[in-house]
Amino acid sequence: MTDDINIYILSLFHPKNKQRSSSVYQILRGKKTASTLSFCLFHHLWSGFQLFPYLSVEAYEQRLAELKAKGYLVADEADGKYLLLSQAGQACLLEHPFWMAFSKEVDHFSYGVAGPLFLERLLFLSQVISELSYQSKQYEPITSEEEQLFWVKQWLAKTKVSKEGLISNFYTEWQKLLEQLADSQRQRLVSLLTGHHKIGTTYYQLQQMYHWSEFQRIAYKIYDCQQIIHLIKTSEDFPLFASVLASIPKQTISKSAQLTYNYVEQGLDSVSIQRLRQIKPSTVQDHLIEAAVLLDDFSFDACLDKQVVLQLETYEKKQPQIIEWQFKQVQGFDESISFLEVRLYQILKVKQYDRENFRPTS
Amino acid sequence: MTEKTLDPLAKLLQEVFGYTDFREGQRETIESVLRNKRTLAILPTSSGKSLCYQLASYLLPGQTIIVTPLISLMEDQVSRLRQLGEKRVTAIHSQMSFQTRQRIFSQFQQYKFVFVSPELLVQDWFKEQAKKGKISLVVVDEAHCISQWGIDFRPDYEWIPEFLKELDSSVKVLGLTATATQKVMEDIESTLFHQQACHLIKQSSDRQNIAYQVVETEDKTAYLKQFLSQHPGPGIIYFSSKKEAERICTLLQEETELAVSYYHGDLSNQERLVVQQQFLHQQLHVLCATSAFGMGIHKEDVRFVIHYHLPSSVEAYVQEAGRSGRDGKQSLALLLYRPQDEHIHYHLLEQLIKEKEGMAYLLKQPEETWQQYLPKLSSLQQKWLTGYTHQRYSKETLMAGLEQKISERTRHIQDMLTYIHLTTCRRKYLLAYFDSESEGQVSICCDHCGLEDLELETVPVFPRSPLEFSKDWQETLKKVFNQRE
Ligand SMILES: [Zn+2]
Repeated sequence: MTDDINIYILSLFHPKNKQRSSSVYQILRGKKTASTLSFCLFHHLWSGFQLFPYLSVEAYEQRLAELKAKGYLVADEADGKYLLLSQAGQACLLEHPFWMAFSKEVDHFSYGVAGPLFLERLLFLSQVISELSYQSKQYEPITSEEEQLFWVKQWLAKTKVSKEGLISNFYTEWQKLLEQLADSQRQRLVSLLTGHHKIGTTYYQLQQMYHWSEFQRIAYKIYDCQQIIHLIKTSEDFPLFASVLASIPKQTISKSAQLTYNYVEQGLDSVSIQRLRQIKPSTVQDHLIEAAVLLDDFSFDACLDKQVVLQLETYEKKQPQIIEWQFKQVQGFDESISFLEVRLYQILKVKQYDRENFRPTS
Repeated sequence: MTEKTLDPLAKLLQEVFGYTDFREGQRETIESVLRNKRTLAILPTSSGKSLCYQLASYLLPGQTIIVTPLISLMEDQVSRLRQLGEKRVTAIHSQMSFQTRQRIFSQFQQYKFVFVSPELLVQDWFKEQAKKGKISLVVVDEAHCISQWGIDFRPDYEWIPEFLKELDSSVKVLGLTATATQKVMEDIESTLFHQQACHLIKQSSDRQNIAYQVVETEDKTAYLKQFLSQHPGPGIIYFSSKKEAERICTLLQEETELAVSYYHGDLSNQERLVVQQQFLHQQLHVLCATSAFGMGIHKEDVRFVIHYHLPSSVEAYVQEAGRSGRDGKQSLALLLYRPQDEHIHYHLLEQLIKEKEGMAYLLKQPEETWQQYLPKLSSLQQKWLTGYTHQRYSKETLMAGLEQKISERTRHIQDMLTYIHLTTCRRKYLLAYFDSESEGQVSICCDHCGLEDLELETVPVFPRSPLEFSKDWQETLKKVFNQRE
């Protein structure tokens, strides 16, 4: 049976870049280690990070077996633990554009938790501003959580524009946002809105109405959040919405890795950091990899020697498939290069490639 | 009591709540709180219990602390108070972020009403704050949770007496509950009030406008569809699992003309409130709810409460059934039964017995080896153990307590089955169960007394399809933000 979950899992694989199936599994479960994060970056699997925190190995294997039986996934000739997307698999995916878009555009690592929280906050604020526009004070807020209520109060207090200005600016942001969305998505969002004389709906109710599967419900919600966040972040048109977004921290680098990276920025070398923080060399290495993957402004210059970069560029000319590099083989080329240097170079190049090729979606 | 001294209460009732009359038991409870140090009020569901402490609190100088077992219930009460225009209200519970708690504490003295979950009462930082504040009244909501014999005994509640002891002796205490058998009542008196004299207010649990009916059927959904075609609601159907609530909800949505939605713990706070508002404002006919989350539903004109599964006890049943007919109009409590429905309860009971046996085994081991068993303990077992290690009871007391709890649970199931298989008046059985007396003859009583004359008023419901807003989204958006061109 090819259900939505299977289609989605299929969309994580690639026709040319082989992937170890167990690494994909770790990502779906959301294991936050230096190696899974690099893997996520190399294969662009951010949509799947911790999407199935409770998925069992057995259930996962069962799904892979179904996809293999259909001929959608094929094992790599050299090593059966690696999988590739077949032509039949590609054809199958083409029939499911939503899952392809989901797979490509969603960053579940950063916004898996923050996204839905942001949407709820935006909807609550919309209700408050709607009631404000009707000068109504007696209404039932769509939250009873202290934290949300307090946040809205603070947000309103901080707003500098007049009440009328706020209402019309907020309305305009909604309008501009909805204009840029696809029909189905716009329908969903308009129906979610609660305001004066309009009670919204929930994704659960949309699920019932449209006969979605449970996974579809979850995915549409995540996808909608992601699209809104993307629009807000890539345009100057949404200052109010952006301030709502800024109030919710997305998942990012761990505190410990950030601390290590701060020392790097201050010019300390690995040995000093080990001593100062009393951590193992391998931990410093993991922290730096995590920082390199997750921080947009990671300073590769501070961690990668120019000579090393030149050497690896030479190697890259021989082995252009950067993400498939094996450390041992690189060592055979130049044994003075460390694992960390190779990994950082890979991250640097993949990020450059991504910037040039994955343009922001509209 | 003279007319004159009654006036301030009635005036306040009018001013704050907009009501002209007290419901039965409310005035007595408020007056008792004002006059006595300790009050235990047993008022049936939907008698407006919370109004009692709210009003009393306005007549007392200091703060009121309300201990509530469930966060959802707590948040619900907070928002209801806010809607009455009360801003000095907050809730503190363990799922809050540290920052939020700090913020609340920094202005603790400003709150008139503070809702807390019981486990916070033993925390030093809370006790400190409570001593600094000026507390006039501590309300123990759902006070039956303190009783080992109650249906939803909460070990956390055992900390309340300890907390009360540390407060100034002038602080008043009010225990509130809807369901208490004689045994539970005695238990509350001895645990909560340390055997000291308390003023008892007890209202008859007889809800005369609710008719009781049990239908034994092999095909519950068929019966349900047939029933709903005649009585479209508003009504609540209770389920014992989320999955079933969802399944039947979808089925009803598809196979009837009614607007049906479900309501359970997987919904976020916002989603729950949205669904609640739809139900409250006549956009839904029927709500499919699980018991735990049905507590926050406050709707006056619920015409029927149906139990799709067997409730775990008569207490639970009466509480849930009591959510119908708050407006006093004719309502129905219907229980659907299929032979062997009780199996799930016996299964749960067996689990409890296993947990008890595991506990007995652990307690026989040397204490220094307990550490290795900890990861294997269930959450319930961990709570039991914590109570013991905190010296709140001895091993013997614990085991005896568990024994009794098990026999109690067995009895609860049996009592429920007795109710189902009754051949005589169901109301009489329920009244006897709570040692309550009838308030007089009820014309439409139960299926055994005859329900031929039963008529449930139909409240017009106007379902809204999400699609109607999206057709002309520009227009909808303009309306939401009151934008005219
Ligand atoms: Zn009867």
